[in-house]
Amino acid sequence: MFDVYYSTGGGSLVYGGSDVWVNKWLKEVSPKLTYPSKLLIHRNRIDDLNVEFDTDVEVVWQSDDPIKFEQYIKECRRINILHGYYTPHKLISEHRDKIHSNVVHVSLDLSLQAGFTLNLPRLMHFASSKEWERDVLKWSKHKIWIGVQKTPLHKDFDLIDIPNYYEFERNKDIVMNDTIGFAARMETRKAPHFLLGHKSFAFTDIFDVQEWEKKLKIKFSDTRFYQFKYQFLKRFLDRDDWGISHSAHLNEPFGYSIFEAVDYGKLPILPHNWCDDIHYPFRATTKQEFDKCVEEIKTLSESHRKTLLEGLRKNLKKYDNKEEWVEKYLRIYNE
Amino acid sequence: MALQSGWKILSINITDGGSGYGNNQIYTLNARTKSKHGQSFAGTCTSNNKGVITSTNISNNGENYSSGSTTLGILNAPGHGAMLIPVIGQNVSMSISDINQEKGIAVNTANSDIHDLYQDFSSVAGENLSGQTVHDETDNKPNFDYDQGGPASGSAQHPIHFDEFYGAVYDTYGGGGCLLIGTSITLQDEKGNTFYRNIEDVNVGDTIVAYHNDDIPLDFDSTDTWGEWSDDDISDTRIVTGSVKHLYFDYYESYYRINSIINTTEEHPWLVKSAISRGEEGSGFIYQYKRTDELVQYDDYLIRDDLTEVQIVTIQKVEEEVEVVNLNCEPYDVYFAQGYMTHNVHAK
Repeated sequence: MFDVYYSTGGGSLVYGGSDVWVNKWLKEVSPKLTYPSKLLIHRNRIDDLNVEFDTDVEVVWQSDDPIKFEQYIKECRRINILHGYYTPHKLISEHRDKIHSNVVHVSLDLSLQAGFTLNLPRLMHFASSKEWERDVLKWSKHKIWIGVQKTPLHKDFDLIDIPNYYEFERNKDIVMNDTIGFAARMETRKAPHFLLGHKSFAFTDIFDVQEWEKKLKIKFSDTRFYQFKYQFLKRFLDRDDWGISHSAHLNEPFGYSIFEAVDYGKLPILPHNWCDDIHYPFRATTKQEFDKCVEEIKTLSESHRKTLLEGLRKNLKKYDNKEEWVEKYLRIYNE
Repeated sequence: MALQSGWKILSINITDGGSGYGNNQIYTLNARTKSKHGQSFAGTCTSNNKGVITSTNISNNGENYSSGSTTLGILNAPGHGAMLIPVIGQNVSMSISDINQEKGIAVNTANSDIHDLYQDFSSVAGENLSGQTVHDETDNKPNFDYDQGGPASGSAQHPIHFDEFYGAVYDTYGGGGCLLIGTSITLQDEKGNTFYRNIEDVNVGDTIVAYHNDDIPLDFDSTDTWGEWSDDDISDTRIVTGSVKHLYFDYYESYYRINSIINTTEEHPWLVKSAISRGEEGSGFIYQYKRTDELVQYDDYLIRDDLTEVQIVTIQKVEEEVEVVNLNCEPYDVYFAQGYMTHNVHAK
């Protein structure tokens, strides 16, 4: 017998925070699992795409061998969902009794509201069903939330809070530059349109930019777009020609990108409801608030910005406890 | 919010204002559908003082319209040629319960099992181009998987579209043929004078000096048509001007250096004169586009704006992280980089 760890991604091709999370799990947790394990990647992969996983755990892609993939689900002792789909999937619903744990990376309740909160004509979001999210939670023995704030799900489910961790490695001095940077996917809740009217650089998927321009008729005239490639993320973050980070993403669960911006010397504009226990003056959830924050930051001296950045960095370092993170997960997986 | 009211006409794109309409007149719009699906839309369009339709107004978005089968007509108008394209979509949230009601199934009944619902839902768009049902029990991929297609389009019975959603296709990251920052691009100012600007400093909307030959198909949204073109004579080409439409930046892990003057990525296409063998007739030349990594030292010649040629004598691959720019211009697709003809490349 063996346990199955189920994910939609990970390895060398990273698209978002959940893939980063899976890679941290692979590196830090998987070597300490006491029961034989397999990692199932439920994803199509084009033929010549080589995605490398740095692990001794057997990795099976659904599209490479769908029969074996399903067989492993049927034969396993437990299913641990590292990152699941936000839409119904038969493989999960038919084996609901085996779901030992489920890691929730985003609150659909909140993220689907973003289009309305921001008063945009259309919602740009990955396919998702709030009912499916709740169904999978009902079926899961251990329900884990990775974020720093409570969600509507907390009212209805006994969620275990295991916030992600981030280890500051660059600790760069404040970058004194008024150009804004944005390093995130262009789903609605990230509010990329806050960049309008501001000289800015964005590191994101060009296809999504085109979708915004085509479907929402928004033209990002003042933004220079860089094609997102995870292997170049640090290069983008380390640029000295932008110093303010657009981190005002609505209902951000954990926000690796916020930690990264702070690590790389950028003064961020944060959402109101993210780490709201930290006193920090530049928070926005509307375009008007965002614009106001930008104007205020521009008036600050370098030393003032440095003080703010260092204070924020000091506060955020409470989330660098990797050992505790690993231990909490192992307690669940090795149960 | 339920979906019973289906999809609405959210906005209208004017792709052509036509001509011959009354000066500064307001006309009533009529939404037409093939299957008489959709109702209640109400809107108007307005012409300017030259008789061209320039604006629209929607007073009722209507309900149950289907994308692809809805057109807009202008009632009792004298002009012609106006093309008003309705943008069909949903401006409210949806849920599985909503879709259940859409199907006429009461919520929380035995029939509203989430997976049954999914199966039914996906079957709305579950046929491939051959008419075969996909994502069923026999293709070993029975799950609704957005990346495998998903319910991409609606039908008259189920006017449901998921096109406001996006999902990352697990593919290589985007990108496309690019030129390194520092590459000189030939532009034209308002007085018609040619000048040069580094590609990273070019702006969307700049007038770009371009080249055109009527035999060359324009652009390649779905296929690389430039790769299929060749000719043994380009004397009928002409220098024209276009406009810079898109500029996207990117990072690459390596690049090619051609004749120590051009720095470009491997897939970027160049117009070249290539030496070819014609069997018993001896050798000759043709003009064609080639990717950078297909260029042949000594056999290929780059083309300047005056149609003179420069033999490629060095092709050097440099393993170094570099910042590059992808430039797209319209309506013509060939512009000048470092003074040589090159084809634009879409990012995706």
